[in-house]
Amino acid sequence: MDWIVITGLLASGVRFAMPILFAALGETVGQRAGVLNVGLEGIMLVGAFLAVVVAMQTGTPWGGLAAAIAGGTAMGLLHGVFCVRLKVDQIVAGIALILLGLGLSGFGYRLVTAGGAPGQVPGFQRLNLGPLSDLPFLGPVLFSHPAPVYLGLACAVALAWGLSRTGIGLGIRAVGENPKAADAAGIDVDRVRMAACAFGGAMAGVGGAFLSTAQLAGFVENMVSGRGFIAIACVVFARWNPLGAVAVALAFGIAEAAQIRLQTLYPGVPYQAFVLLPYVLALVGLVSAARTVHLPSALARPYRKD
Amino acid sequence: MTARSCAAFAFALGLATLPLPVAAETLRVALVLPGPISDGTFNSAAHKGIEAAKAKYGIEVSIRENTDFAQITEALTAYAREGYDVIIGHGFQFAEPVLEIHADYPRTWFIVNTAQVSAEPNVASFDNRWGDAGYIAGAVAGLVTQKGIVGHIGGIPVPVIEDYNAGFARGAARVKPDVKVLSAYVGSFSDIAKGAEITTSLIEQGADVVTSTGNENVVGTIQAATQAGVMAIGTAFDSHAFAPDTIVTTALINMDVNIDMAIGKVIDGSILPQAYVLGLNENGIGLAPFRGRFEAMMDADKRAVIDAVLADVAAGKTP
Repeated sequence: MDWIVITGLLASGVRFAMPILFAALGETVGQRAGVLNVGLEGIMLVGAFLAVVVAMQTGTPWGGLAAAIAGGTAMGLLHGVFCVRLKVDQIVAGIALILLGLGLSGFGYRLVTAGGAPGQVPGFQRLNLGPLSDLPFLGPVLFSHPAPVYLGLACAVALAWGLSRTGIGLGIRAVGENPKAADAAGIDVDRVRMAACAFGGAMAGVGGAFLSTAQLAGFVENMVSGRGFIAIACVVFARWNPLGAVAVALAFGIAEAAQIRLQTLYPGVPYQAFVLLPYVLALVGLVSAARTVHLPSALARPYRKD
Repeated sequence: MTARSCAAFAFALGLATLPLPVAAETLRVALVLPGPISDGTFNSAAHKGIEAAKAKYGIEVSIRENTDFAQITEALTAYAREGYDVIIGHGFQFAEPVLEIHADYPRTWFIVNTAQVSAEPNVASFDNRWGDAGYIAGAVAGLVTQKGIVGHIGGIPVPVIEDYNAGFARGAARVKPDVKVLSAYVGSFSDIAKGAEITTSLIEQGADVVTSTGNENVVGTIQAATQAGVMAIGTAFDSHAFAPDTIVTTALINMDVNIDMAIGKVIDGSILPQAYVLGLNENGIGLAPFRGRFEAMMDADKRAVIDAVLADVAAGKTP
């Protein structure tokens, strides 16, 4: 492998990592607050769909991003209504979200395009940071990505700080660890959890928007292709730590980019062996994390006042 | 009898005297698809074909999309029980389920598209010469490549895609013996992001002409090629409008012709339980025109090569 291949591999790994990272960051906050959302896949699909449609309408990918955030928030709140207010089983509600997202995005896309070919989607362009982008190796790997990549990384840093160092972060962790104590301390448990659900939905929406307007420029049905589930694995693997989520998402993205390149380097090996690689990595990660992991104690448990 | 029941009685009588819908006269055709009709390639082609056939033959059509492998048998039997005259399964994966159930519904014709199977008395299949289409695409790629490296990105290596892949390599080698042909698989028909990234990786390895087979993943390849400024050759569906400066031409696989021919043959009674394989001569495959900047790129010499390739494909002389 020469430098060009390795540069391409790392840059491609970053692009693969971002949709997963956005969804995983939102899910980290949700799970820290005690709400499990397995429906990220459905929310990401809705985000991807809205981003494409609204970007075409407004002519700018930022409009699409805003729509994806709005749509994701709405779906997150819907999850909250079921899980937090109505105390429904969280896994069941999450699965309903997956199906809802799949149906809404697919049907909506057909309504919009009416069977014809979609027009040009104004996607996020790769940034050109002048001399920084021209640096050998570092330029393509670090400084030539679309703007949302840097927003995502900034978001991870802000969340890591916010969850551990601020009062709001403490409140979120409290309702996820011991909602009864949090309640006694005067925190409105359900309200914090609703807000966490909304945030988780919004971030999953951004993840979908990244996929359809930054990594690509267009929507097809079911284009998220399991990234919502990988994001959940990423949260656990990273032990509910936003900065850990960056590392895990990058590891997964680079593994994905590597398997693609290994396929062409070793044409004799069945390609399935390489396609499996990132998923094997996720499984190994989960198994190794399982022993030492500390779940938020009240994860997936609705809180009822006595 | 109250006024209301009187009215109800009169209404029921009126209904009874109306002519019944003539179900027996119109041919009822069911099309069972593995993916969505909006994929812009494999399933869109079938949808386009059935819509054209509906207008041409005045048939009644029912379409079922997104049929998983596990749902195929159930979907086929449901239509057969309802008494559909023709049931078309779009994809080689329909062959086995069809062979399992066809004997129970002798009044129905089962058509498997893009496969080569048949069974007495009521199973026929229509396939296109995907290998020939790949061969033509390969020849075009070999002609227009400047670096001498071309690439094919497949969705999942199902038989027709492997045929295309092999044909592509042979076609490219025919016009440019020292060409390097790269090949990779997405492992999914719907993951367009992965399709795009795989294409990017082949471009980084030097490919300056790429082609792709599958469903939505093809969209990813075209986007990646457009972004990198290299050329792409479309497959199946004429995709020129999608990226006019990128798509050199399209190796057409006219799956709509299969459907038209199947329904036409059922209607005129000439259909036989056999595998029909449609090549260049039957319009089952073809080559889209070179448009835009590619019209100028194809000078007389290159066109002569393409014509020779097409003549050999039509004559069945592709080594």
